[in-house]
Formats: sequence, C-alpha cells, structure tokens
Amino acid sequence: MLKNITLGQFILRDSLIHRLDPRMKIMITMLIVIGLFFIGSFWGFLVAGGYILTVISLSHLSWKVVLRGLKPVMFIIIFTMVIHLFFTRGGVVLLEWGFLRIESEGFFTGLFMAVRIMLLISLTSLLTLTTSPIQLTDGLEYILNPFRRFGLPAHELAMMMTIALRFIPTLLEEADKIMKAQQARGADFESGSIFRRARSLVPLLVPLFLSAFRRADDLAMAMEARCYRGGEGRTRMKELSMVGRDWMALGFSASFVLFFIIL
Amino acid sequence: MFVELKDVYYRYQTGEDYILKGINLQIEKGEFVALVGHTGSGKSTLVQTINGLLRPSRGEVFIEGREIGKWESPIQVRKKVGLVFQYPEHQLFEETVFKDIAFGPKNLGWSAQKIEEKVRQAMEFVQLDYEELKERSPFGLSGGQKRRVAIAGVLAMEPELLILDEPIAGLDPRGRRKLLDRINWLNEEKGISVLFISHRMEDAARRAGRLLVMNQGQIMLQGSPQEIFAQRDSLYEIGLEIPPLNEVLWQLRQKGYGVRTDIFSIEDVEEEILQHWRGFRCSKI
Amino acid sequence: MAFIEMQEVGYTYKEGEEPPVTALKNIDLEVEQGEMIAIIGPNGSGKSTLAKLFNGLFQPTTGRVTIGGLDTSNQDKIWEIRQQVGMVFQNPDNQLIATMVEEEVAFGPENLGLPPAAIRARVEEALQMVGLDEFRQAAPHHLSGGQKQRVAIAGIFAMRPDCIVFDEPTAMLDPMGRKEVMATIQKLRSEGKTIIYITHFMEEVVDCDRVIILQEGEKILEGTPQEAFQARDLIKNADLELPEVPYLVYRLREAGLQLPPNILTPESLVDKLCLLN
Repeated sequence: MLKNITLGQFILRDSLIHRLDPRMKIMITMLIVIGLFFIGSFWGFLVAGGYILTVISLSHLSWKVVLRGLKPVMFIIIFTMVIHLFFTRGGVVLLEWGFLRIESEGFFTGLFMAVRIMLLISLTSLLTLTTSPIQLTDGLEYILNPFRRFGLPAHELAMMMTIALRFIPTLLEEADKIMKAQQARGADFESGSIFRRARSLVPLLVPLFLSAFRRADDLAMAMEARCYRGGEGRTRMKELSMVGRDWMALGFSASFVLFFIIL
Repeated sequence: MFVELKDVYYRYQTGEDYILKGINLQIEKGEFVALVGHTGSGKSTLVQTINGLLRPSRGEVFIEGREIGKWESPIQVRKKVGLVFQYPEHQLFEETVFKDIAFGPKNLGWSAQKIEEKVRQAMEFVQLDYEELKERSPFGLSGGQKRRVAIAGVLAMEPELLILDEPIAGLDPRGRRKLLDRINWLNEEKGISVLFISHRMEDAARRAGRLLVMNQGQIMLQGSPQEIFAQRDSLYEIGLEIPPLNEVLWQLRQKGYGVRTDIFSIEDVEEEILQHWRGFRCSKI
Repeated sequence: MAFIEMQEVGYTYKEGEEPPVTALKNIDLEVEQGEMIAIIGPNGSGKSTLAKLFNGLFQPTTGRVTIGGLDTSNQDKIWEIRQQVGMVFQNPDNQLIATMVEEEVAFGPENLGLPPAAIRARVEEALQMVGLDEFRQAAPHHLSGGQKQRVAIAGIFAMRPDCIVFDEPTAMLDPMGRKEVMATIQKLRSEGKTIIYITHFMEEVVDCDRVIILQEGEKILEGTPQEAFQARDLIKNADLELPEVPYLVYRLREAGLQLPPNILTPESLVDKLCLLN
C-alpha cells in the first residue's frame, strides 16, 4: 500500500521530452513561465496553449494526466476569475443584476488570469511528470552551483532534497504503523472536534519525530563513515551533459516565447 | 470459540493481489499459538484483521461469536484482543511510564482508580517495579525495559487474547528468554490466550501448544509442534527450517537410528541420544 | 605491526550533567589482514562503541587505535582511514541515502572524488558481488531487509576498503535475510577482506577465525569459536547463550559421551555420533 506510493508525479515514458537534460527542462520552464506573464492578447494565449499541447504529445503522456494536475488549483482559478469578474472595473457594461455588475475589462482580465494560471500549472506539472525527482535534484544542483560564490549552499540543498525523497516513504510507512499501534490501544484519530483531533495526534507525532531524529543520527553516522564531507572534492557518477536536442529544444521554446509575447 | 476467521481474504485495493487468501482459523480461550512463516507471507496482515485494524475484503472475523463489525465500537474489540506490534517501544510517547501505560485504559474511559490499579498490575505482569518506574520518562529506560513498558501498555487494557508480532526481535539472548518466559507465565498463570509471531522455530516449538505455518497468504500447515516438524521437507520447500536439535534427530533417523523426533527441549533430546548411545559412555566417576 | 591495533583502549560517554558512563575499558586487540573476527556480547557490553572506534567515528578516551599504521586520532588521515575501514550498520533503513540502488552504491566512490567512468565500473562490480545487478534502478524502500543490507555492503565494497566492520547487520532481519547477509560476508572474506563482525548471536560466529567476548566493556575471552563455545560458564555469566548444538554437545559430554568438544553443526554432531557406533 504505502510501499507503492510514487513521489512527485513522475511517469516513466520513452520520449524526447523525458530524455532532455533536466537543467534545460528547468530553464525552459522558467523561460516560458516568465513569457506567460507578458502575454497580453487572446492570440498569445492560443499560441502558448498550442505550445503546451505540442509538448504533451511529444512526451507520450495523456492530456488527462496533465489536466488532473489542475484539479487541486481549480478553486483558486475560479476564485480569481470571480473576483476579477465582479470587481475589476472598466470598459462596457456587459451585465447588470441588482448590485452585481460585470464590465468588459473585468471579464477579460478574469479570463486571462484563469487561462494564465492553467497554463502555468500544466507547464510545471509537465516538468515533474517527465523528470524524475532525482534528475530534478541533480538539475537544480547544477543550476544553482554558480550561486555558491554568493553563499548559496547549492550542494547542501540538493542533498537535503535527496534525503527527503529517500525518507518520505520510510516515514510514511512508519506513521502508518504507529497510528495502527495507537489505535490498537484505543486511540481515535477520526472523531471529535478539531481541538480533540489535534490533541489525538500527539501519540502519533511524538514517536514519529523521535524516530526521525534517531534515523537522522544514524544516517549522519553512516554518511560520515562513507567519507562524506560536503560537496567539496565530490564527483558524480552520472554527469549531466547537454547535447544537440537540448539546444534545439531551447531554440524552439525561445522562438515560441517571442512569438506569443509579440502577438 | 474465542476467535474465528471464516474464509478471510484481504487486499489493500481492488485490483491488487490478495495478501490473505482464504484464511480459516480458530483460537480457543487459553491457547498459546505460534504463527510462523517468512516475511511477506501475510502474518502481520492476518493479526491485524483479528482486532479489526484491517477489515477483510471478503470473509468474516468473529470475536466471541460476534462478527467484528457488529460490536458497538472498534475499541470494544481492541480491548478484547490486544495487539503488540514489532518494536513496540517505538510507539512510546508520554512523559512518564505511568501515563504511557495508562493511555489504553484512559481510552476505555475507566475511572482514575481503576486505571491506577490496572497500570500497577500490568507493570507487575512484565516485571517492572511500579513505585520505582512510574514517574520515570520511558525514553530514559534500557531497550528491554522500554519494550516491556510498551507491552504493559497493551496488557493494562486486560485483553483476553494477546497478539505479539515478533516480540523478541532485537533483544539479546537473556532479554529474549526473560520475555518469552513471562509471556508463558501470562498464559499459564493469568489465563491470557496468546498468539505470537516468531522467526525462531525453536521458540515456537517449545512455547506454543499449536503452530500455524503461513505461506503466500494461506495457512499451509497447522497442528502441534510434533505434527508440524514431522513435515520437515514441506517446511524446507517454503524456506523454513526445523529447530537445530530436531534437525540432529531427523538426520540420525535418516541414518537408520530409531530415535524419536517429536521432542523439543534440550533435556529430552539429550536423554533420547543418551538412551541410544548408552553403551558408549565412559563411566564417569 | 598488525593491520589493526588497539592498545589499552577505553571509552567514556559524557553527556551534559549526567554521570559519565564507561563503555569500554582496557581493550587490547590485534587484527591481521584477511582475518575474520567476531566481537560478541549482550546489549550494553560496549560492542557497538568498539565498532565505531575502528574507523574514527569515535575517538578512544584512553589508549590508541591504529589502522595500517595510521592513528585514528590523526584528523589529516581520517578520510584515508575511513576509505580503508568500511562500516555496515544495524538498521538497513537508516544507512541508505539515495533513492536509487545504483546511486546509493555510487555515493561512497563519489565522495572519494573518482572520475565518473571509474565510479560506474565500481558500482557494476559491487552490485554483481552482492548479486543485485538487476536491481540497479530500484528504489531502496521497495527492497527486502536482506537486500537493503546487501546494497549497503555493495556501497562499502565500491570504496575498495581492506576491512569491513559489521555492527549487528542481521539483528533486524528475518532468517532469510540473515542467510543472504551471512553468505555475502563469506564472499567478501574469500576475496581477502578483513572482517570484523559484531553480534549477540553466538550461532553466527561459528565460521570466524577468532572470537572476542565482551562483558561490561571488558574483553573476557579471546580465542577460536571452538574455544569460546567450551567456555560455558563464562558465556552464561556474560548473559550469552550457546547455540543449541554446541550446548547439546556440552551436555552429552558432561553425561560421559565421548564426543570431541568442537562440534558446531547438526551435520557434524550426527557424523560424530555415527562414528561412536
């Protein structure tokens, strides 16, 4: 059950998008995200949407999977739209009903906002759908590396992410076990007021934290025993290298950004 | 019949493989049953269906003749059937030993006086000194003591059946022996039925009246230790071994010696071998 | 000079205001290259503390520890020492760092700063050694306990140490996992690695060259497994237990049966009994 959870939402496929260098994927994603904020016209959004549909089809993923990523933010999207619809003023009055009034400016800003958020979310889920957590971490480490001279602990951040990814399933399993053990002693995690329920988490959280600390202690010892001393002097088995297709992807994406900003 | 499982199937989600495949099992009041089988055979899942932590996907579980879902609340079932998980000391959370052991009784809604009485009794059951330890933090105790505090936390609810999942894992030989002796004592003197999961065949053979052997979600064999270990070859096929002393007796038999193979204590095995080799003892003065 | 030397080593834990606890007293020990040594004692005998002295994870409070002539208190050489003396711990879950088996095995060599191709070659070699080459892409949390310990062993092996210290590597495993790990250790031994094996199960030390029994931080016995198994009173006093077969042999001998004392397995007992007839 818990053993089968997958982290992030990575789906393994053999596709061009999956094979791209994670650094390039992260950079392109950032580029497009910035681009999305500069789109000012309906046509621009249409082109951007077309771009994302192209990437989806190249990644051999079903568009349903990408749509699923929108579900958790649906509320925010609708909320933004409604706020703009009723409170942004300007342009011609489209509808008036009692004290509610919708003006054209509000309508278009709301619509653009909603589409922009949807495109943003689809784009970032595409990144995590096609890049494994390990690759993402590696990519981030490489990208952040130049900022080390400004005191940014790039290697340490990446190591933290790796360890978190490694231990999340272990701790989830443990949480499940502790919960069952306390239930066996009559603990009730499901009923009562919010205050009661929060209190009922103590028998779960205390052992879970203690266990996490114990594991952290052990892990630090094991890492030290394996000559770990930070990023200095450390090499990597899998080095990232950009190839032709990565630069082509960048070129392709950059021209799209230009295109939909101009439109 | 205290516990009865009728054709129990279990899987986490529809579409997945079954972890339990048609378990039929009965446990009488006062029995001492050992459950053996290697990791992944479904032992831990099985015991969790007995106290209602997991509900069977198919089939029924009865406690005292009443189907588990028909009890007023799950806590009633959990009071009857106490379950001690593997490494139970990892579930301790209270500031004092007393409070931790009192957690179960409190959930049962007992009076302060009753709770104190039951905590005191549970600590005595596992040989922990009440006055000395009740105010101590459970986290400052030794590994063996922590484990006993955790077991007392289940015993304080006065279960009629005590289920222990690998209670001796990680203990040293002395800790192991002491704990198993105490579990035997609870069974014999206090009449608590016991179902314990064990990897060590010699413990199962010496302690339990009945053995259940699980393999791939099914109970493959059940019977007295004598009956089970007579099936040495089928046990080997599923990767289980008979206790080492029984291996000695079994191999002697293979070589044509008429030794008994249905004995488990070291004294009995010694006696049996001496009987056959009486002529070869040098007289000891 | 022996490969590993401990001279009058003692270790005392001092934590905050609590009274100091002496975990080890006056330990003298020499280990030659290629030897397999078992250190055995009940919980609280100091054996895990001793384990951590072998590669400078702990520094002795008194006495000194040298590995191949290098003093473990020499901070300049500490990484060299840790590369030479690898360590496998008890809890398989708490010593794996990466989310993929091959990355896990690569972790040590990466810390040594080897070139990528060399790391790749070592990872392949190590995974083959422990028989997990088919699992190179697997996530550690999908493996069994025995497999996780083998991944940990591969991770150490890939650093090419001369010696590996095993700190109760089977304590949390089922019998199957225990067998896998024991078999892997025997394989390491046949490759000439020095093995220091720490346990509280006497049945696991049958194949060792030498056994050291610890009690309350002191060495109370050093000898071959046969010698150790015959010291029955000492073992009993140290809260240890003889494995079933040697204990039976001990009792049969006490009862006057003329068996040799050094019988450790069911097979050899049966053979010896047959010889009597």
